[in-house]
Order: sequence, then structure tokens, then C-alpha cells
Amino acid sequence: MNRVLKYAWYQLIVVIVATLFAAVTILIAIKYWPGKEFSAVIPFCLFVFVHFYRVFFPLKAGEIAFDERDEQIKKRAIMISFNIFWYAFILFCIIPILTIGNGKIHVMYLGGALIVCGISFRIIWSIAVIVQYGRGGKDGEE
Amino acid sequence: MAKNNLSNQIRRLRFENSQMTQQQLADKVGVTRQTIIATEAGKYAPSLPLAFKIAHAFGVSIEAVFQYENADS
Repeated sequence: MNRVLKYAWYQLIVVIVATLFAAVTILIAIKYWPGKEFSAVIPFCLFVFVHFYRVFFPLKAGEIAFDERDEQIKKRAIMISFNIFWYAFILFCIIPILTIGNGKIHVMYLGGALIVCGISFRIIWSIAVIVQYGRGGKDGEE
Repeated sequence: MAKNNLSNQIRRLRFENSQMTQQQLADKVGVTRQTIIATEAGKYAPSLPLAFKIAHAFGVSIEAVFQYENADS
């Protein structure tokens, strides 16, 4: 398994765990601390671990981080996830207007929509990379 | 990735060159072993510079390593 594939798995696991943590934390805060202030940093703190990949998996001496094929796979994954990001964001903007009505949407909705789309972007990027490398990343190795 | 019309002799050339491993070839041409595996299996069409590097690693011409099968002919 090369570094790009490892990073895709790492990111996928971290983002899913961080999303579940954020969801649970927000639900607990709404239920047990209604009306009281709590830092918005707390529910989303685990997302910072996405950037700690190099700390947990340092580049070994002589190891190639990525090559032209990895670059191609990453570019294609970015294109796929970016397209889905925009489609999801447009839907997030249109659906509440059609269902709730214009002028009645909560001010925090846009921020929430951006966060959800941003998380989706990372998840789709990881899945796109994993799918392109093939199951297990063995590339037909016998 | 889809299969392409590019066939190659990398496996044969590796064995003819002192049974060179995929990792040794990867180190020689500066790519990951997975890229050599994918190229050898015909799952990845390398760039022209990489194709030249692979040919140079074996000390042969690029045509001796890669063959393009034209579907029209």
C-alpha cells in the first residue's frame, strides 16, 4: 500500500470518527445544555487530526511519497469530489427554499451546509482514491 | 482503471536483467512499486518520460519495452 492510499484510508477513518463525535457532541449539547454557550471548537476538534498524517506516518528514508500515477489519481479524485461538492451545495441551497420558503431559513443554515459539504468533499476524495487504486491497493499483484 | 492498447515486456526484461525485482526497477526510475506493478499488468499507461526511464533502466529502446496495438489496423 503506498502513501496516497494510506492517507486516503487514514483521512476516511478520521473524518468518519470526527463526524460521529461532532454529531454526538452537538446532540448532547442541545439536550443537556440548552441555551447555554459552548465552544463550537469542541465538536469539530477531532478534524484537526486529518493534518497529523505526517506525524503518525513519517516519510522513511528513500521512500517515494508519490509519483505521476498517484498524482493522476489524486487529480481525478479532486475533480470528482469537487463536482459532487458543488452539486450537494446547490441542492442544500435550493431544497430549503422550496420546502421551508424564502426568508424563513435559519442564519446558521449556510454555515452548516458548508460544513456538511466540506466533510462530504473529504469523504468522497478518500473513497475516489481507494476505488481508483483497486480493492486492497494491490493493483493486480499476484 | 481501464485497460489500454499498450502492451509491455517489463516482466520479461526484469528477469533477463538479473531477475530485477519490481522494487529495484521502481527505485531506478523513481516511482513507487505500485506504479511498476500497474504498468507491468497493463493497467496504467506511463508518461513518455517514465517510459524512457524504464527503457533506459533495461538499456534497450522504448519500442523494445512498450508496444502499441492499433485497433484500426
